[in-house]
Amino acid sequence: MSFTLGIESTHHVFGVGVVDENGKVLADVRKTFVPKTGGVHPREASKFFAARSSEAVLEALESAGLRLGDVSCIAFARGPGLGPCLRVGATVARTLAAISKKDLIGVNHAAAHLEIAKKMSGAFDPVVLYVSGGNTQVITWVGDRYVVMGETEDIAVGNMLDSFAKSAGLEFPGGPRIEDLARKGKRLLEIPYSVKGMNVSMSGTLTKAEKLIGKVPLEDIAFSLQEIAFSMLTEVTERAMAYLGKDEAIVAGGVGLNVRLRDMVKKMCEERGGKFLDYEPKYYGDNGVMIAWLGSLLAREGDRLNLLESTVIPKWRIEDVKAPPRLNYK
Amino acid sequence: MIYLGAEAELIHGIWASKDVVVKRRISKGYRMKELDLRIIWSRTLKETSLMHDAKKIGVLTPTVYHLNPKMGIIVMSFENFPTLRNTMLEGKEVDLKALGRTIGTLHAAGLVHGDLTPSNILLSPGGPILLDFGLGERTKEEEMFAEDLYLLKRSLDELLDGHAETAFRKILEGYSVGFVAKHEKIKAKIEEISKRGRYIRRGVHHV
Repeated sequence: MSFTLGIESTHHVFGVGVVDENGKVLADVRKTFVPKTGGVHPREASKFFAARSSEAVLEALESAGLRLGDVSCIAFARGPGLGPCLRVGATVARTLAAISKKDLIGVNHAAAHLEIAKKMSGAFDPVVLYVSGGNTQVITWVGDRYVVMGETEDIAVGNMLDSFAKSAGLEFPGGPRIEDLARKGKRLLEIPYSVKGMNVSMSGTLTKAEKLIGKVPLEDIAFSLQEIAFSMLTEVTERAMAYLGKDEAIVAGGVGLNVRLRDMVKKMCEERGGKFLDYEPKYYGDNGVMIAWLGSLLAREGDRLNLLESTVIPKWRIEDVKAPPRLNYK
Repeated sequence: MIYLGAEAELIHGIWASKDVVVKRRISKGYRMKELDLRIIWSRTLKETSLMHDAKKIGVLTPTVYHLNPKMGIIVMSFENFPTLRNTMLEGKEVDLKALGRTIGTLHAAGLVHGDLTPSNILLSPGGPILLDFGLGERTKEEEMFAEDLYLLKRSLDELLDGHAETAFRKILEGYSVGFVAKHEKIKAKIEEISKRGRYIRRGVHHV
């Protein structure tokens, strides 16, 4: 049996996961940085990561019941993400690889979200709605490439929700607070709905919602914001499915934790005779397990990094990455 | 039924003793009723107004006979002409310069079609007729004009392996006559988009 240890440190979660070659999860440790005010500041988050990284690695090994020598390779999120945060994860990974003399694997964070979503949901050839604080894309697999079918033309949906929450004086992370408020909202306000082809635009939606703060009940703004933004996302996911003739859809990324969004995508799939494949919510958000899993798939392909050429890539696009061979997990 | 897409269905029928196409936008259960109505209403109106704007500058589009934005219905003339797609597949001559000029004229007026595939272009003796402005936009952005053309280029690549290059060059020749002011910049943008190489996208429906 071979084991892969994966390190996630792209944004506000320092995660260490351990999986075996079949994707069985042996450890899933997460140290989450919570900013005192406002959003995630890269330097503060990276300081937090540096302080908690050793503890996270030791906890993960202990929970997996392994010693470092038992692990066959070390994977880390090489990008995309915040530079200072990425460098902490990369440094820890290089150190572990150097002292254990094991292979070092650089993993694309977005691809890791997609691969863990596919693995956990049992989907084979899905269209993925990838939604998080920094990303909003509709992605699929074409041959051994990831193809972005559509994406946001300005800000990510998670960023939009966090920014709104900040303006409304809600705590970080804004998504869950907005979801709670939205349950009590009823009235659909006039907020821009912007879909262009398979792309969406969120900044006009945000600006209008912010202007309404203080004028109408916050519950109604939260409700409208969710209904409108999530309908836009569901619509482009459906367009991609129709265009590609694919019938499976999955959601990945932290915003996928929102129940209303998943309900919409599910309903859309039902209406078109497709399948929405859900999986354990804890794997929607950033975690080390997904990095370990994609790392283990790439290790089989011999895709390892030289220590001296293992710099981070903060703006690494998923189209520039080769996808591992497709496995049928069913 | 002619076509069932993600967003709309097209039905061939007779209306006031004319051959017509009825386009009906499909209601979506995933979005709340009020939003659904709002979206269907505004898109139906936008589509017909873009068709109308195109006509004003001499670009041929079907004639709208009836419009019910609340139900998302457009009744328009059924134009019984071959599509660019079928004509090309049969290997017949096509006046691609005229097509290019038409697209140039459309863009020069600040309109993009949004789904410029060979199935959405009919070849009539009076010139090309453009169908389905459902994804159209009013814009001044060169990027959007270039994307409009790039989608057509991609569809031609799929349709004619080998000859697509020549075909697209003729379209661009005509385009530079239709959009004198900006064709150079837009051609450069198309190159840029090709290099980005991530546009398998857009062009949602193939009839």
